[in-house]
Amino acid sequence: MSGENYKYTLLLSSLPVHPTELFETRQPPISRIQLDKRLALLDNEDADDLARIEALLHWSKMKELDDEAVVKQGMVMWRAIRNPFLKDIVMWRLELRTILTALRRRRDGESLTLGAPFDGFGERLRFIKKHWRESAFGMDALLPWVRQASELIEQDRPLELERLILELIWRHYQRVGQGHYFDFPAVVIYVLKWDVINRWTHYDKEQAVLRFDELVSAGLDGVSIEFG
Amino acid sequence: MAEVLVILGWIGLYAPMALGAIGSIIGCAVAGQAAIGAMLDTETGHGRYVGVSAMPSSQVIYGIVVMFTLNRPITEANASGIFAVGVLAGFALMFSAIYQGQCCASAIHASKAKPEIFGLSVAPAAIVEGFAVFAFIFALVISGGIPQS
Repeated sequence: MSGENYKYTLLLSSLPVHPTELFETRQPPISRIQLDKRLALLDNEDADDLARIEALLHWSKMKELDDEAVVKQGMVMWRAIRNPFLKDIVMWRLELRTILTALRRRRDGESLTLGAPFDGFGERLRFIKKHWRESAFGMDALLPWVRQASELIEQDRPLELERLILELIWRHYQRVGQGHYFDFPAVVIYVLKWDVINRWTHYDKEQAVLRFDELVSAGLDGVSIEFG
Repeated sequence: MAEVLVILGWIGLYAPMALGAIGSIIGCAVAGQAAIGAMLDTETGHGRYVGVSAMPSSQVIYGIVVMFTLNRPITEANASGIFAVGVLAGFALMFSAIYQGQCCASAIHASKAKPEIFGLSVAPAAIVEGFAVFAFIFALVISGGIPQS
């Protein structure tokens, strides 16, 4: 009656509530250090599941591997997640990434035939290959955002694409989070939403220029250019 | 058969108290955890969180009163009536306490983010309390019809 559904009442009540609108947010409602302290209240099995989910969905926790290895390793981790509801959430996000990858590869001039290798997540890989020439891979009715994303990629508008995708992810988490208030899925959705906010609020033009300069300097280290 | 009836009578006599206590334990524990969590995230208003988290404790008091109202020498004549009223009133009190605790936890969680809705957020818990009061009052009323011996 109050078991699993209210398992993490203390933990979730101790976390500040996420804002309704993602793009109005200026900073995450709680620091990662504080969040990790609160997440120490998770039991071991749930903590392992959360670590798996974050490892699958967080770019910074992914290792540099080729597509085949990423998919193979990802599927092993995905199967290890115990909760089917959470598996669906993770697969939804991985599938979204696969579709974006396909759109970018097509923009770069790749042409996939049915027999060609194409590594990705989800059940739409064959469908994507079959409808490779169609702007939204024939998924207009099912996934209306694919056409928008395709147009933004073709027009080389990465910021608008990022906003579209983050908004899509945010709305999806809000929708699937309905009915989960104090259980483990609610904790996972909270952390995933935190990751989205963190990603959005860390986009900083000045910081990006500084980072770019650092990378250029590192790349040119030891190289002398003489003018005139 | 007579012995079984007497056993059922004793179960019915203690059921409102025991089931009400179980409900209050679960309800107060859930709401109490929400209150403690909210204290970690807020600087003020801690007293009212604790106050709201204690709301599901009323069911055990109703259970005690129903138990004393039903209390009489258990006989074949009154055992079945005591069993029916006691057990059903007990379950009503237990479920109301559990779900009231969940309402209280949600109220604490919501009012932590929007303190101005505190009063309104407690309304669902108060409505649940109302149903517990119905179960309590009508258990008292109907127990008047159970033979004293």
